[in-house]
Amino acid sequence: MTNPIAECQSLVHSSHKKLRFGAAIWWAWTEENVPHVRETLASIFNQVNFGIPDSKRTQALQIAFSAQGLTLLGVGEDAIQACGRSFSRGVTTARLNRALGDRDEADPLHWHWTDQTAHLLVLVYANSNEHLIDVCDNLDKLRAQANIRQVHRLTISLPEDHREPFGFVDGISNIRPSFDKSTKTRGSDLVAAGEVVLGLKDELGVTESKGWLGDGGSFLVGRQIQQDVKRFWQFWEEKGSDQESAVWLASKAMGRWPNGMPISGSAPHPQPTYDPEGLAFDFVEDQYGYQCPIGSHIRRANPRNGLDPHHPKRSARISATHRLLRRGRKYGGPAPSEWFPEILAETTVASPHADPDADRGLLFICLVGDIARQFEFVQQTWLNNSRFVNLSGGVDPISPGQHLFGDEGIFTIPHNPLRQRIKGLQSFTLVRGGGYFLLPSKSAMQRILSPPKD
Amino acid sequence: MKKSPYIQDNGDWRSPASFTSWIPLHPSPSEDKAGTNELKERIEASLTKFQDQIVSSCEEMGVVHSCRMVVTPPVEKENYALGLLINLIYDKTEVPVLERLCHILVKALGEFLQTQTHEGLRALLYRHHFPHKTLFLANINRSVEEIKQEQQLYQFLQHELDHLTQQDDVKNHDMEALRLSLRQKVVDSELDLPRKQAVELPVETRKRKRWDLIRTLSNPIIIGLSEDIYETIGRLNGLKRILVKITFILYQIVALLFAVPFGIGVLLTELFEKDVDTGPPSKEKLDRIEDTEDHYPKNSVTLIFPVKYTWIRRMIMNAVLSQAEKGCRHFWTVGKLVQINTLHFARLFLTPSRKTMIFMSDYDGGLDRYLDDFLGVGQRAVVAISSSIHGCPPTRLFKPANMSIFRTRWRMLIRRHQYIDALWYSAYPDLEVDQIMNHHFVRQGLFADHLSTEELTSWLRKL
Repeated sequence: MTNPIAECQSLVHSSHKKLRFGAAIWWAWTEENVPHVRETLASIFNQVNFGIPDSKRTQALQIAFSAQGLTLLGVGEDAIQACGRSFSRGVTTARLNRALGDRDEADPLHWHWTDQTAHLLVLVYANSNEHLIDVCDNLDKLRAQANIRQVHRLTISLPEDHREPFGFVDGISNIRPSFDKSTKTRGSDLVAAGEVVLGLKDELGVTESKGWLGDGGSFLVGRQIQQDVKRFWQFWEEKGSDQESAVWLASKAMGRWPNGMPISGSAPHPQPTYDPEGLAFDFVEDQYGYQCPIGSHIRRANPRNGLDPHHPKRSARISATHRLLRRGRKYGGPAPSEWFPEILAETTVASPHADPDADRGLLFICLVGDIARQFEFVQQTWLNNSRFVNLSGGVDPISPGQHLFGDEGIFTIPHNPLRQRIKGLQSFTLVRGGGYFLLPSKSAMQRILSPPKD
Repeated sequence: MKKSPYIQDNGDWRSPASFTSWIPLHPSPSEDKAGTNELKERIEASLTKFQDQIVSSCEEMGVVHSCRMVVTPPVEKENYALGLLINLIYDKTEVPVLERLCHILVKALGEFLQTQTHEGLRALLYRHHFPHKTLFLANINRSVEEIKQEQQLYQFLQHELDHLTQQDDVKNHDMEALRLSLRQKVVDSELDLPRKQAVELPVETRKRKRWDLIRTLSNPIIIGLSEDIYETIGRLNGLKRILVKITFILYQIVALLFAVPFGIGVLLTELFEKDVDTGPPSKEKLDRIEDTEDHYPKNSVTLIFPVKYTWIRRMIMNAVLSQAEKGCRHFWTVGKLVQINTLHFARLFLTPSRKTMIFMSDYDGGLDRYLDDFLGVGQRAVVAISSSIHGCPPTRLFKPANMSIFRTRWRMLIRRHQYIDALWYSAYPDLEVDQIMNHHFVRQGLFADHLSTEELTSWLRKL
């Protein structure tokens, strides 16, 4: 790969956080209209952003294909298989449904979109709502001309205070791929570029080519997670003796305070003042989870050096091989203010005039170099595991899978000398869409869109 | 206790025991692959029909940890026709495990067996019995009954503690008094719970274990396990640790003189052998295997590999498996094989011709995690064993010659030689290795005469 930094799509380098308005659009086509699809995609190719984005940009466009979509566009079976089995099979297999907890109500049969029903994911980012509408209208015209079907569409956004719908700051402690070996330090948020970009050296020290199609690209894992904000806060308010303790308990479950500050203490107390310098932490001083509970969402998603109390360095090494580059955004409007504890009413994801029946949640997006080792592992072995680091009776308290082994709806808050267990925890989220996509490199995209040679 | 005829002598202080047999099935398969596959499917269907009976029987006996049956197609380079590979992991008791299973198997597989009586089948199983080359047990000397009782005890204590933590003054309790009151509740309970600490090994058994350790250490190649030996030494206390460590360092120097020629032999073999890439398994096979996975938190894997076709490789494989067995008996004895903490049982076999190696394991979590552990923390042992398998990517002194190539090809090799279990029973499919250890720790702590403040905090943390 000559210049991986310039080759990969800009989403690898930036979350486009200055472009707060966005849309995620899923398209599908049939074999008959492939020539038109190719023409249409070739016409928008120039709008797709590659490399480190210009800070003055007013819009960005990113494009990701499902394996089905690539097959229909004439990409050979060999090239797709070279990208690995996870990508080529997609997320809707029976085994993955079991492992990821996509069952019952969350079964892919009920999803709005999957990597089987959708062939392309278009992510549009803009600096204003008007601009976003313009870009989307143009895309829509092109789509209609090519007879491409729109499978689903979500308006996504990045609130000014970066809160997800439950009211917690999202996106702290994200990884950054290091293309420069000299800046790479183990265990930090800087990870080997191969953890995100295919064909480059990863955290295991392995450089594995994924062929012309994969190299320079990234796998994009998407999950549309609907969030029941009302039930979430109702539950914690029932469990807490007052608003302060409700927020403290919910923060213990999340692993951070709503403003992003590290959670601490064995008894409810007010949220500390936001301090950007105090956001980063590890578990060297908190091996037993007295501050950040072992079963909390953020500790399960990224256990840092807290997997094994006796071997923090080994824990950090293991954790480093299971990180995800998160690029998710919330979708849907704000939730009614009265659903939140009063002390959180200031958040931008709450509004006194919000529609209570509106659908809202998170379009979780992550970029990875190995779907099984990174995304599936975190989901199956850490988030959905009721036995995570010797716990019992509960899985991830924030976004669990459905119908999981050993899940009795228990959340354990370790205290010295005796732990506290919160019982009756239900799922406040529901997966409504999901899929594995490939965010191809510039040269791979050119090759995908070039007409087939007869 | 009467000694079972099929328990191997060495390492017999360990329980549970493993029994494996690979019996030929009848009739002999036709030449064409389709005919063989059809016959294999018929046999698997018969086993499935009797699955409930086999499972109930295992449960009733209460001593079977794991039972698996695999219908194996004819194996390359061996004279094996279609066969049934059976493995049992069971507590060493007087319960006639095999006899009970033979009664059901004769009914299930009658038309495919060379015998129609359960006595005949039992004899057949003994005749085709395979001694293991390596047996790893994560929780040594824990019976099915104990594991289940300890799980119940843990749940009982959890329930009692939940009750207590709802009372506001619990933090002011004397924690030792709390432990004793919990203990009294257990003793008074009508549930089938353990009421004292688990018993230590009898003196005679410990003597035999020590003698086996001396024999193990007398083989200089054992220094290949130096890292594990140091870790074991690290678990000793005070002066004993220092003395043993110094002795081992001196021993290493002497042993190196013998081990170096072995290392040179391995390296030369690796350098001069041809790299054979056997390619990926078929998509259909992978689909079929994946359909059987992740139904429980615990999974099973059965692999039948051809050993590389040279005599020296067979010799190396034999030597490596022997060392691995020594490691399992004396150094990997606290829930971890090398550093892998997700394995309940692993058993490795070599056929008498040494042309085929069989691997069976019961493990926690998904296969991807398991294989990552093998290539990560467990690489030291796994690559040494894998290097003698036909199709294994090149190695240098039992380390991957090129990790980038090794990782992908090795994973494909595993999948290529993986067989679907026609039947797999686990006595505790919902329990992970760490949990079993945790439950045991809680039991021992509960019934300890006295715990220091530090021990008490650590004990309460586990609850």
